[in-house]
Amino acid sequence: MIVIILFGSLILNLAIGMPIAVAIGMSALVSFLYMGFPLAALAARMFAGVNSFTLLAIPFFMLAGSLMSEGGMSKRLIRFANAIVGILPGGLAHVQVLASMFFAALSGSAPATTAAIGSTLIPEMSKKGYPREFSAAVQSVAGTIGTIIPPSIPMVIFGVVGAQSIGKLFAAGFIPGIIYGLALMIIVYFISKKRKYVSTTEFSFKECWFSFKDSFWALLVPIIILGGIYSGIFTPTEAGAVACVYGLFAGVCIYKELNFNNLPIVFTTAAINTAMVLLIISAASVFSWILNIEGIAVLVGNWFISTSSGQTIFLLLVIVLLLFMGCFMETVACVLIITPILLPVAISLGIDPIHFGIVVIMTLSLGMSTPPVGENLYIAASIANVSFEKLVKNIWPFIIVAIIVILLIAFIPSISMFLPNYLYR
Amino acid sequence: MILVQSFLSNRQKNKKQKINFSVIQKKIEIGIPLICMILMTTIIFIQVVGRYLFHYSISWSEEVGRYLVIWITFGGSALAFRKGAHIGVNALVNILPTKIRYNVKLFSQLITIGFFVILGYYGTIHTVNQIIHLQLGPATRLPMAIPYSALPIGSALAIFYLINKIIRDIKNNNKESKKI
Repeated sequence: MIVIILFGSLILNLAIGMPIAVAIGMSALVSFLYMGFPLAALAARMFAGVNSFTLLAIPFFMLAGSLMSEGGMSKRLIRFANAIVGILPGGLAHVQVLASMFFAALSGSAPATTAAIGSTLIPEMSKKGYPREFSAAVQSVAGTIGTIIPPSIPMVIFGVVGAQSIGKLFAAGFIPGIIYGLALMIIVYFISKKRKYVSTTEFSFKECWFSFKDSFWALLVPIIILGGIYSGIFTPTEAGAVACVYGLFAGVCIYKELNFNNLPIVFTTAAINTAMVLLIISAASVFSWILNIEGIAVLVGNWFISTSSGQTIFLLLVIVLLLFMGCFMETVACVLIITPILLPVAISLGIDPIHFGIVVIMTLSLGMSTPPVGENLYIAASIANVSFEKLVKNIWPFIIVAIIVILLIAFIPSISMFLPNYLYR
Repeated sequence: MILVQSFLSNRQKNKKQKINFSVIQKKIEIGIPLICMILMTTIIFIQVVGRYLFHYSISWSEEVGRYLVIWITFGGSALAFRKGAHIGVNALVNILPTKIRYNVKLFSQLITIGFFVILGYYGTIHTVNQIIHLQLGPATRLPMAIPYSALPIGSALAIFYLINKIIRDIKNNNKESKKI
């Protein structure tokens, strides 16, 4: 009964267009009333849900992302990516993917990556004759790499909820992120060949070298972040603060694009984005608490154990379930609700929790660019000024490729586990 | 980027409706998240530098960090309501005919207000309890009422902006219906 009330009210709340955080919180509130729990506990739970030091990583990586894109790093990374892959057929679409991969190493959020790269490249591409819905589709899928290549906000949340090492998760996301990007570039190549999108840029070593030199300070960020984490100088959370200070320094002193006029806006934008994610976390932590206290989590977990005889079937079931959930729910909320239920099952089946985390995060990230609910789709559609429906029609080839990559990474654990095993021997 | 743009355009719009928002309100709504962001970055960066270079750790940085996260969550989401930045599922609502859509939107906004009324009410109770029992944070010795008060204050601001938005929506709707 409680299941029907909890999920029924959630679906109803979402359907009438309430903000996701409030929809989750309201369904928890209705369940509290039904179960006769004091509502004071709801407020206390929401408070406790965000009373965590590790969650500081979210404002930090949001702020670092917006400092670096406003500070001129995304522009330079796009130029560098253009110098490398601009000559391929469909050149600028390849640039979108590669620049998103570069920017993913600075930012921990997929919508931020989509906005940072897309807002420069999509208008540029429509000038060069690429259809807007094509460039928007490429960008909304390429943007999801933002959460796969470290740093990554969903990984931080998975680490907090599942009590796993965030450093290991970051390391594990690296190679899958690169494979994901390469796979997207392959499908972009074939589509561009078929539709005869030609490249207009010519390859020159000089441009390569100059753009590399110009974007050097941006390319240094992942080395500082990951190097600092793996050498033990700072924790992943503190790495966020270091990235912010570095981004501020580079934007003000080196690239000279940040000043007192745009800095307050950069900070406030990051604060708004952070607050949205954190309010969802706060509400979803109450939701997930109800699932646990009512034994629903154990029930679902047992069902998974009884139906899936082995790792393969379990992983397949999880991917299908998460693809479905990702279509309708926010990534962060999904990670919070799903992790405490499925992670114990995965561990009991002998799946490495870090590998499982990467599969969960890749699948849920894809949910950001699948209709009907996908933040990346909304952002890309509004940048490109195309209708949501037109964009959705163009996105299927990329989603199919993304699913193939996810299956590949799910069933070959050594792809994701190679780096963490190497770094944490 | 989009947010930045919408933020800018919002800013320009606000200049026109100075009657609705006083200068102090504007300062509070932007000030809370802004100060939180700057403070948390500074404190944690000093913590890293201090520990690595000078082998000196600040004992209270973690606790202050947590309080700032709480403040940014509830203080910042009020601001996000003002900017209309909170994401929701609009696909279904947008299919509906205009008149029903308007009512559904109004209904969902009213429920959202109700949620924040409840959150704010119990948040106030928690805060008052912390003051009565004089709970102090373990490392900072700051009263626990400081982080807890983010709940009532954030909720109050959110309610304020939501009501403001509803009033604006109703006015717009009246204008449109008069045109037809």
